[in-house]
Amino acid sequence: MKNALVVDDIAYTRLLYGKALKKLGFAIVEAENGAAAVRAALSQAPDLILLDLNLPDISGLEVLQTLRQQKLTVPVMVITANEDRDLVMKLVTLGISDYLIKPVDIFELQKRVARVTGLVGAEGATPAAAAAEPTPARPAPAGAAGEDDDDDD
Amino acid sequence: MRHLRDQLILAMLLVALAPIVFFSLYTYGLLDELLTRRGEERLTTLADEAQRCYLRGCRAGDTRAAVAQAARALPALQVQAVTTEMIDIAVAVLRLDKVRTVVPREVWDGVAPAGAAVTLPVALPAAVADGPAYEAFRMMLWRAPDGTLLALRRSEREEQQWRRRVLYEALAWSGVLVAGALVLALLLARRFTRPILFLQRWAEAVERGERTTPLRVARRDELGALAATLQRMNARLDGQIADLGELRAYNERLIESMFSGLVTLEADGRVRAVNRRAQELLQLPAPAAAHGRPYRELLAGCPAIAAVMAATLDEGREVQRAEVGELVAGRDVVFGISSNRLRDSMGAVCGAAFFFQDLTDIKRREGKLRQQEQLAALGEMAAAVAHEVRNPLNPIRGFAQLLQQEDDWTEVREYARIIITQVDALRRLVDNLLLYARPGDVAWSDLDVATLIAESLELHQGQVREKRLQVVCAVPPTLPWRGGLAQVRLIADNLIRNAITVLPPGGTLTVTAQREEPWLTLRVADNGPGIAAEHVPQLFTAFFTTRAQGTGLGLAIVRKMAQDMKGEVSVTSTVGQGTEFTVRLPLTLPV
Repeated sequence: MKNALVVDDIAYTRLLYGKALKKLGFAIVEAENGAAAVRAALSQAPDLILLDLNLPDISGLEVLQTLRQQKLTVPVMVITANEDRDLVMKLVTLGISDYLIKPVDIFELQKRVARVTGLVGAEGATPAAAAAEPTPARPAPAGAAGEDDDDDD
Repeated sequence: MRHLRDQLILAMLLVALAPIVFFSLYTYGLLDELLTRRGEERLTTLADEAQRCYLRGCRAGDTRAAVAQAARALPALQVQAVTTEMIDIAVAVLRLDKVRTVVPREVWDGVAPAGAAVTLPVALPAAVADGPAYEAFRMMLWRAPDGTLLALRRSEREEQQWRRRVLYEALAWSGVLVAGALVLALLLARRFTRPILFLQRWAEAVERGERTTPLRVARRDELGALAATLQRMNARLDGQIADLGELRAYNERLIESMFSGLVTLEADGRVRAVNRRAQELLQLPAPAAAHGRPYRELLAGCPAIAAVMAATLDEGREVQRAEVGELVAGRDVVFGISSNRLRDSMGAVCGAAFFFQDLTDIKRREGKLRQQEQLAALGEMAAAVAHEVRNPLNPIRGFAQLLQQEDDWTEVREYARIIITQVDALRRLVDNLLLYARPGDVAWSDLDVATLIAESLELHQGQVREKRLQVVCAVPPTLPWRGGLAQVRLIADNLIRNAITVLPPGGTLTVTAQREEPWLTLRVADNGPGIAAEHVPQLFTAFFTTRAQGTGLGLAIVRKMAQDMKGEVSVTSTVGQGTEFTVRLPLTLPV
């Protein structure tokens, strides 16, 4: 069973994403702020992260930067209420798999999640997906000792 | 004679000396003495003549006839034969006609030898009607070779005539002396009045501003020194005039080259100076034509500028960078105008100066810039609002979509409840946005702040119970105040809700309200997590929030409400210890 980390400060939003992803067969880990998100991403080794940018403590961008510095290549889908072109460019350089604006079409979200997680195993075509390519190989050890594993690479 | 002073003194002395000498001589008998001496000389001369006459007569043989001949020949002289007798060895008595007089022995001895003559002063009684009156005269005694003693004395009349003549002569000499002194004094006076006159005429020429030839007075006295001083003074004056001219030209160039227009007025409102820029800006006549005309007449077309001038000149109100609009030559012009009253050296107001700038282009650019800034601020605000709207829209849309597929009625009800809460959140956002954005009108009324706080706490009773919070309310039973009811309620609600939201279960909420002259102070404190120092400056900014719930408008609204009532809000916070918000509202109604 695949793990999905849902990061958003609004409880109902986390609940919504959780409901949608459970239907796709994901197990859900929730984080309501950036620090919790980083902690969960490193300890739970999720297969997918749904990331909000506007968080109470550190921004979603900082969360992503921290994860990438930790060589965590998990696919990240950004879902935000902000439309900021400069921010999108920065996110792209950090390798995000998708970028959605709230309010999201929940069925569209399900489709994209399926594509992002499915594409990774099947084709590895897009650069964003390519960056996330090693992910499927990692879930098993990540669950046990995710942080140490990254350092061994 | 180097000093004018000496010359003057000498002249005065010369004028005064003659009469002084004359009157001194006369007064102290010196003239008498002079007359006596000269009388003796004359007597001697006359006596010589008489002696020669007598001797000629004697050669004829008769002594008596000889005496008569001599007396006849010399009417000015009385010639008498004198008889003498010795009284003792010291004195002889001399008998002259019927008069006897005592002669000292040495005089007698003097006339004893034949041919000797002695002159002696005698006082003989004169023959007057009412008895003897002594007349003093000098008499010569002469012993003729034949032994006859002759007394020779000048006749009384001749003596008087001669005395008068001598006196007139002395007076005439005195007159000549005085006249001479006068002439000399005049000449001397002329000697120094002439250069003074010359200096005067020269100074008058300088005064008239005529170009003068250098002053040449070749004298070594005070006048020469004065002339030299005047010459130096004139040279310095010429230098200063040249400096002044240069300064004036510099000022004129400065004023002409100024970017600002300049108009100066006299105290009575007449134009004193206008520079070229002012002439262009205000479409005034040439400076020469504008000079001396009243500004009201010149600036009839620019009433706003004339009003500024009137305010400065008549009411003493100086303006700094005031902006006035005028229609000049069919063009709307925005003028920047500054005014200063001008004071003379005694500090009295003697006019005013006005500086003009054409701000039309600057204003236009400023307007454009302000518009852009407003648009940018609007964009920022719109982005923030969009963000706040999208967040609740997200679960609304999502759960509505899930509803379409959901068969489990428990889930359906849950989804519907969520959608309703999010719609409510949206409505609250819109309400707050309107509250925040509406104009700050305050409906002032008498209210009791204590009651309002109690109501607000009551409103949040549910959450307080839920979180098991401890509430400390230090508010007097009544706290009357005049203010805006809606505003105070919003302030209390927002601060209390904020505190309750951030407090962990079991925390303490403290609400204090009291009069602290000149403020009514409301404090809401919590012992929650506190606020990081870097967030404090943005705390009251709209849409700034570190929390998931809330619109980010609560504290912005608190600040706006406090400001609408001329109050202020401040915050002190320590991470880990808690936060205290303080609202200060004026006790007395601001005007």
